[in-house]
Amino acid sequence: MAVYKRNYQRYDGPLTETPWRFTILLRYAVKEVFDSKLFTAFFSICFGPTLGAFVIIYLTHSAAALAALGLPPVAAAIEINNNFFMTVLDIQTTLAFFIAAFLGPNLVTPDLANNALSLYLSRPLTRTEYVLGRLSVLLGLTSLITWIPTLFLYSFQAVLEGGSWLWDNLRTGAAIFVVSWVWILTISLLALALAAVTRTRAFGGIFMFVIFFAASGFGNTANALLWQDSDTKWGSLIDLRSVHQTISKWLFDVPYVSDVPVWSAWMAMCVLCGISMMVLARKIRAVEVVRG
Amino acid sequence: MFIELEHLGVKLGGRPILKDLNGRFAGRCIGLLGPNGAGKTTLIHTLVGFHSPTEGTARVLGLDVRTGMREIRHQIGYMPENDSYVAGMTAIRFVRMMAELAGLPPEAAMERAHETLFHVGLGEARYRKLGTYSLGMKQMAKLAVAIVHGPRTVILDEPTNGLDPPGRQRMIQLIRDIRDTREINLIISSHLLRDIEETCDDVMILKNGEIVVYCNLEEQRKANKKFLQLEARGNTAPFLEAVEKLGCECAVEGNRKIKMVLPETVEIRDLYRAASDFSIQIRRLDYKRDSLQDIFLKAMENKNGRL
Repeated sequence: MAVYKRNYQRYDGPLTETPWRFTILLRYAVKEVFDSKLFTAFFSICFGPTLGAFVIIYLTHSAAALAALGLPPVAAAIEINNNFFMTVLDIQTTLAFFIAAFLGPNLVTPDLANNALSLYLSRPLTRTEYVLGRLSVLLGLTSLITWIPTLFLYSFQAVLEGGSWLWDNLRTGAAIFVVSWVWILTISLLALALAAVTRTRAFGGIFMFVIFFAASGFGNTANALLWQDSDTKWGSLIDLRSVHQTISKWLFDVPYVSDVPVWSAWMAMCVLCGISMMVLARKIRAVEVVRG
Repeated sequence: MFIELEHLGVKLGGRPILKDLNGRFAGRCIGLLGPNGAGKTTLIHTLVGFHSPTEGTARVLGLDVRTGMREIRHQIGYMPENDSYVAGMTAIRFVRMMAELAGLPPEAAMERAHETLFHVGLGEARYRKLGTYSLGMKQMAKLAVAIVHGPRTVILDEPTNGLDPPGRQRMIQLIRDIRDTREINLIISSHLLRDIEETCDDVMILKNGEIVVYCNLEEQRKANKKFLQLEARGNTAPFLEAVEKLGCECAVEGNRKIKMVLPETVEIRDLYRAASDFSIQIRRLDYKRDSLQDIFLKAMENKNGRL
């Protein structure tokens, strides 16, 4: 615009679709996230285990490749079954936790620290859409390292194995998807909620690890003190990892001995998600009303 | 009418903040005045949808705040009172994102973000992170965010807060420029009477959550323009007789001081002519004109106020 024309001008041009307005937050956040070289490096490393699993699946089906490498046949040693995929997913979900712990606070705290929410929410953007925009960043990036690559491995195995393998292992495919989503949704909501409460990047991340590790220790202590002789150790319900593994083993149909019933593990996950959403509903506001 | 209030009541934390506000306000630039805690910011927050009315309703540009908030937000720009920015983002990126969130396509948002930042005087600093800005620059950045999407109504909450005199002057000038484009309605909340006087056409004064005065400043000035106070030397009796014949009401205070109420038809020059005819020297002539401060203070005295 020429200098002499610099003045206020109304905008009468076309507008973008309202329902997808939250994707603007996703786009800007992803760009910002990958501006960090450290994060980009860590995110790249997250594909390492999947790549390793890919190689293993390939080698179990390629005697020629093994012979060329001078290795003994591994097909008998490593069985590509539900247990294999559960293990791969276990590694990937752990990495997803680190990503959520690092990213979650970075997404919300800058907006809360300097009251930018009032600017976001004075636009045609609801609080739900704001949270959805931030959540979609975490869900998108953690999906890229959990269920998407694991389902790719699953498809790769199905192609190499052929026959009725896919049909026989449909449950494994569904388990990969559901187990991943239960985990990434829970940790993403938790990361955002903790960031909204603490309002600082460092504390948001630290609290994630505190919940992950300290809650596990606290749960074990409670088990030892209160339910030592009982088959059901309710203290494990506050151990996020243990709860998720109970659900995971049940869905993958892997033999397991769990401290808590599966239904209670599902309940625990739902309660955690519910609390996180309540915290977000309370904290993500354009203006804070002081009561009393 | 760009703002309509119908028995609007808002309670926060169980406490009534706005009480039964009514009125239709069409002024191009409305100044919102009132002492601290009068409900100015709450009214603004209700108009932008941060608080829901507990009673009655409000309409902005004909749209109900209860049902049409998304559409209202397309049409308004809001500049909050407090610091509002993302410290780690550059100004251009932040303003562009806000334009996109208001519905502009990415290309248009980018273009307007550059234009707006130049317009508010941050053109050279647009690639700097907002966290490095001075207080005055942050205020300008907030103004840029409020107008980048070309809204029909802009709501500015304490726009000159914390600005030094040149910064304040720059902000006032920008607001006037925006107002004078006549493409936009403005609501400006401030506790600085001078800011309102310099920028607004209409004034709404709030006290204890109620509207105590709504007036047009120009009309108010005109209405009070005809109150005159003059000091004269010479034999004032024939002069007074002459001006009374013109239709003026006169009251003599002491020896030389005369107070007059002039009818619409009489101009000041008529008085000078009469004074000349009777060889009266007019030594001093004052308009007794109500300033905004007078209007404000009167409003505060009306009921049990805090001033």
